[in-house]
Amino acid sequence: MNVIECGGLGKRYHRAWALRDCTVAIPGGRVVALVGPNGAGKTTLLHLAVGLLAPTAGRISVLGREQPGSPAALDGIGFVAQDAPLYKNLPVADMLHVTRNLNRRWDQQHAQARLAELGIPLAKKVGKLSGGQQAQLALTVALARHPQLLVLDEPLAMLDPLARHDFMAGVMAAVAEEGITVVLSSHALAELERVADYLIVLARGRVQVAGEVEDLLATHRTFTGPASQALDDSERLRVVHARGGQAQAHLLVRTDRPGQPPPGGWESHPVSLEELVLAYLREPEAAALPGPRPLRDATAMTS
Amino acid sequence: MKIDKEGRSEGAAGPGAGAGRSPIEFRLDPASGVPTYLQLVHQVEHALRLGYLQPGDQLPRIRDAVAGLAINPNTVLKAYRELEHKGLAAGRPGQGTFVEATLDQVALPQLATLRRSLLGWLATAQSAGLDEDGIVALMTSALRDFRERRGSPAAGRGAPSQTGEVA
Amino acid sequence: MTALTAPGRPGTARRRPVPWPRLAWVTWRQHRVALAGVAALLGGLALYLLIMGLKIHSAYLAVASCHPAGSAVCEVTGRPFSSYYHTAQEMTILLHVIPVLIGVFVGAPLLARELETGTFRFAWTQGCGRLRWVVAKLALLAIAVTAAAGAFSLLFSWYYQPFFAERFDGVLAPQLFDMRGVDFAAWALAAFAIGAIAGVLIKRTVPAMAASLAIWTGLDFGTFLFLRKHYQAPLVVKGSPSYNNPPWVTSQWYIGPNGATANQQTIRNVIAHAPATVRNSLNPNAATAYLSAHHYTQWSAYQPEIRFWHFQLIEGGWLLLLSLLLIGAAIWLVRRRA
Repeated sequence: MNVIECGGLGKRYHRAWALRDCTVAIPGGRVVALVGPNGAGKTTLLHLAVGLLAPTAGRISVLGREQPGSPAALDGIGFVAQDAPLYKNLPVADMLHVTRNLNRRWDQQHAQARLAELGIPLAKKVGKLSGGQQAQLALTVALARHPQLLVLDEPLAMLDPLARHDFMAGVMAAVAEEGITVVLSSHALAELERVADYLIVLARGRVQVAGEVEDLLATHRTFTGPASQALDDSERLRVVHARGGQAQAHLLVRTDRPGQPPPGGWESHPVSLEELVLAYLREPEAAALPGPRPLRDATAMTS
Repeated sequence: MKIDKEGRSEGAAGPGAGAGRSPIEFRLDPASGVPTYLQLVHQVEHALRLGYLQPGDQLPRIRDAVAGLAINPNTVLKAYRELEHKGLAAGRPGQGTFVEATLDQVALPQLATLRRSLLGWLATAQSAGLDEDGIVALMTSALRDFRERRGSPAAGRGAPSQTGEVA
Repeated sequence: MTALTAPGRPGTARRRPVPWPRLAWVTWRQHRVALAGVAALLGGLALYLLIMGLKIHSAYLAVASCHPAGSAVCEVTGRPFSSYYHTAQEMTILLHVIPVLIGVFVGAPLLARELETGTFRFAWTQGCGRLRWVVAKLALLAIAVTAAAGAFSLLFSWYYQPFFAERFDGVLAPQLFDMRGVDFAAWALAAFAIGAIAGVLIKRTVPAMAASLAIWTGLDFGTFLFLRKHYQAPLVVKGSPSYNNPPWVTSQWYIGPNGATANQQTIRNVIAHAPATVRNSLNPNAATAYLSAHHYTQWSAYQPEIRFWHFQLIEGGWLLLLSLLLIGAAIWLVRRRA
């Protein structure tokens, strides 16, 4: 089942398009990283998926065939917005009660156990908790609803390194225990490599890269070699991004066959996720998108 | 890991205390360039060699490994599958993954001897004019030849680089 | 604490809507400070009205049972009653702020705070959905606010009753009309509705509060200064209406000898030519009699007391309609906002 499927999705505010021609099919059972610079449209896409925004163009469906904002979609999706909004004047216990009363499905024991494990006192006012604790509380109330899909909008932005680690550890533990799908947006690329198995790169409101991280890393290499040869060889290769000095050049290329040796005179190096994303962000015209295939069947995509 | 009021975590009380029922706990080297799942595989193999793990011991539960390192559970799954493929571990449904076999354990004194002879060789190589990168390149290609001669499949992604033929 | 439903696999929860009592609890829990504030305010003032009302009623009994009325003895007996009346007049002016306070402190922050702090991104992605959420908030608080205001105005009517009995004021008097009957509750509801829609449109708490205050005050002033007197065509009578049941005189004018309305300047000119005895007379009717002798007749337009309930229902009616419209618009905006 595709947790989020969009076709030609677009959102316009007044005259500017925040998101345009977005066509992706995000498969379930993955941890999906949505990356891109500020203003790229990440929050817009996530808000469209959870029903906070309505599309200006195109269509979007979630959890298979549900419309965002429908009762089934609301039940099945747990969302933590940017800055983890919570009712700050309530004590933690009442925050749990409020969430329980706003939902059909709620696991009080799970929520309390998780908070106890994290050392978050139930009587304290939410506003008095630290940033990391508030983020963990927001995550707890989302997870206690036992959603199929967890959507997190820049959850790590306001957190210190320890809080970030603990937050992601909590999310990953939930994935391990319950098999939920996670879609999270972030611009902390280095941390995402450990965590993500599906990547979407958004830039200037358009999807540039979409695919399994394993495939992307297998089909991209950095070739290092003489700058003088770069121009000639780049015609034979699918170069995403080229950089280098006068003598030596680095070409980030896309290959069809993993393990394919580089052309004569070049060294081949594996590419990190961060390198890959940065290269695509620097080349707005480049894209690494899954080829045409029926939108319903995402599993056919994995090679 | 317990987090106190200020959000700081207490250190683990001692070896094995935080890891539940497994004798080992994973760590990650994000700067090594080696894929995460391979790091986990290597750590298990290393623990086997040094005797930290015995056949019958349980490997860290996926949930614990993931909570400790904040990595994707599929990564741990992949590492455990690789270990199963190598015959070193086996999963028991509902219980976890357990060590099945052992690697040739190299006793610590033997390791010390090997280390000393390696340091000697390194000194020789340096005096021959080979710098550090040259040494690494020589070792890598020698390792590759050794592996090929032994006949086990080369793990292509584990190698830091491949040099193409120089025209 | 037990789990409400078993943490089963997705799809096992029935797609029943989240029940209203649960949403009601959320509304109460979120706004209990504001509700407590309103309760405290109304409660405190109610206590005052109760205590003063008892005193006023007993003072009135003393006055009513004093015979003969108008004698020096009875005048002395009536002094406390008169002093209570002066206090009551001031109180009445003060009590007019209650509806607008409700609107500003209960209505405006209701949705504005959620939009301002971003918690709507939490609330609107929960299982109950936006529509139920906003209806629970608005409907429950609207009912609570209207009921409380209604009860309060009943108490006020009882409190002021002796002054009506003694004909110190008419029931249609502008400052009293909207404190009684259904009007007080209707103005409170309107204030709440104006606050709510201002909150949704402006999306910031303090500006929404300010806007609600301004709009409600403008509406209130506009109504009692201009609109209310037109609910029904006033009765016109020569001179002043009889003072049996104090009517509400909406305008007075003079008709000159030529049959046209005489403006103020003309009247002043005529009076200027009157003898000193008339100009300096203490009797208010002296000037009128003089003008009348010179063929300047006074006419009054007024609304008789008997139209009290008719006007109450008209005003209460359009205020209710307006409130329902505004609340409906607020709900529609929340649903639509994307």
